[in-house]
Amino acid sequence: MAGEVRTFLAHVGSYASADTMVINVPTFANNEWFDTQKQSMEQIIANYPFFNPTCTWVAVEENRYSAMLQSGFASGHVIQGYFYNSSTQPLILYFTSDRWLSILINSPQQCEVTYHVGNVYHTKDHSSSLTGFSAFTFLTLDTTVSTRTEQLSIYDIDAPRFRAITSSTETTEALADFYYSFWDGVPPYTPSVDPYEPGGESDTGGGDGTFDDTSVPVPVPGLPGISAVDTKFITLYNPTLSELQSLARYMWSSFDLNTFRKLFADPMDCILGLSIVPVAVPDGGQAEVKVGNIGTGVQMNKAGAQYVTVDCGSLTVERYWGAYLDFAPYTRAEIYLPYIGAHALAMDDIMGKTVHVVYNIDILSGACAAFLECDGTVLYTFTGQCSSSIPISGNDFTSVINGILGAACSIGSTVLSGGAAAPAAVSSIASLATNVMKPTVEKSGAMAGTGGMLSVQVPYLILTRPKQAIPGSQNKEMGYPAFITRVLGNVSGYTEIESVHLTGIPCTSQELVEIEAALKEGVIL
Amino acid sequence: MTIDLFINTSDRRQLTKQLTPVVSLTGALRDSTSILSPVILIEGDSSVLSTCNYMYIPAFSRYYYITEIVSVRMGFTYVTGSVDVLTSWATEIRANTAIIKRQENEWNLYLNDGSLKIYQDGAVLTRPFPSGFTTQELVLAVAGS
Repeated sequence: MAGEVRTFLAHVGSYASADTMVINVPTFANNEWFDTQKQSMEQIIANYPFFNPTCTWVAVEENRYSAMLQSGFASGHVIQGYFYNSSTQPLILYFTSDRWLSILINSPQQCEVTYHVGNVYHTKDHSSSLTGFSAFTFLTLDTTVSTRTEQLSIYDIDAPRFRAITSSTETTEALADFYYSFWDGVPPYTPSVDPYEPGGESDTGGGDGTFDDTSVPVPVPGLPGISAVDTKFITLYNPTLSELQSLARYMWSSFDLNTFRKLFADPMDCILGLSIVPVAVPDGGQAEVKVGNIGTGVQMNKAGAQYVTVDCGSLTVERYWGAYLDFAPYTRAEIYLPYIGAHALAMDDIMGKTVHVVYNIDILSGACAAFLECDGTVLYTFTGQCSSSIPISGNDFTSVINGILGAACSIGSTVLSGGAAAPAAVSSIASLATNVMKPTVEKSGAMAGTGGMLSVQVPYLILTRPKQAIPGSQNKEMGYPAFITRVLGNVSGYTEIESVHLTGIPCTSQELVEIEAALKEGVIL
Repeated sequence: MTIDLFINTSDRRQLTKQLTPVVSLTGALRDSTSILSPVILIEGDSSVLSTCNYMYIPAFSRYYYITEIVSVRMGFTYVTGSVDVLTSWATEIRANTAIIKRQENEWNLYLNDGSLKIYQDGAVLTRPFPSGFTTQELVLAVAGS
């Protein structure tokens, strides 16, 4: 389409509506065109709705027209036409060749004219050479017909936020249809077909959360109310070594086997278990040990309860950097729990909080449950086995050995699976190209029973913390993250802007773009 | 028309520049010129002009960086400017409200924008709880009461 004469007509005066259109008209000199085409223009205005139908073609004030000619700038150029409406603040658009457009604005307001295709602004500049006119602007026209949106806008740069006095956006498709209606022999513009038109599948939503931050603490549970001892089928004793030795002597020497065999096949069947537990057994008072309801004459302390609570105390995890580095994935935490092993903790759960560890233990079976209270609410529960069985028969010894072997195999499989997974994990981590993603390494295997008794007996936190590289004057050179809304005059120093709607700056749009870019790049206020 | 020439020693990003006045020139604009990138022919001592890197043109209400000084003939020098939008519109810019991304004095370090750099080697710390399992006792379980 290059080389064709395109004339823009613009109308101003109404802030509510504005229109710009492209038409092709023959070239006439000076006001000849105006005089001869006035009726045609009125017809065009009436026929094409996207040209404001309320706009009226009014008489040209000769003195203003003369002033334009006398400015000297019009000489040598063909004046195709100019137009203004009956507004009390008239604006004149003055058009020249097929490649460029000059616009002369005579307005009490300081104005700026921009012409752009899509987001690409074309040449625009103000000239100070024309005394008496507020602005004089050159615009290079892009006559390529495409599906891009073209827009001609005239801004009142004294108004807040550069309110457009007039602005029109029409797709080139629409403009082209109109254009070709005046151009014989040129095929009409054929728009592309979008298979998803008219669309409409997307929808708005979100923002309907309750913002309810209520959290009801979940405390460490109490001990069970019913125990095996309560059934009276079992009695738990807390013997000393000497008491145990006395019982052993009785069992292997002076036992009345005939009486016993009325009830049991083997005297040792009455001994349900002998174990070492890592807790103080509650005192239930002295009593004679009875095996199969037969008094042995050996006195022992009975266990006052089957369940015991062990409170390991609290630790407060304080923030080190006071920054996001105190949280995952930068800072990581694990907890080692005796008789249970090491487990990873989420930093969000413990950072800045008091972590309290409590065990509930069954001294009969050795089962234990460790509760991690974080700021008063239980967030983690782990179970384990804390008693070490002492074999008192061949069968017992076999089961103890099997238990140890089982635990050992469990450790081995953990190590093997960890080893096999490690290369893949490292590979994927490397692809992330970040120095905070590190492989997680198992810090303990199975901790049950005797193995647990041979291990560390105090729970502890393992914190892996990053070391921050802090160059001098970082805040002055590049600031720190803020994401806050402020009046720029109320902050000082280095500042980068995330978003701003610049208002009240009576500058050109080019300057406005520069200001916004500079603010986003960083300025010193 | 007046042109005030300065020596600017401030960072380009500074809204309020530290300016040292050098000379103030008065004359008339004979040719058309852009107000954003003015090119002004000045008759005067080029040695004085060559020390300047900043100017203010009151008629245009704008501050300019001097981007080029070209001596054309004896006593005449072309001075090319480029508008300093930050200083020219500093008052208006300060009146605007914005969402601030990074700031020197007001910040929230819990916003993870990845700007805090860390070394690859971290520190590993252990913190034992106050107490643990300190005793070992025997438990004998016998059938019957």
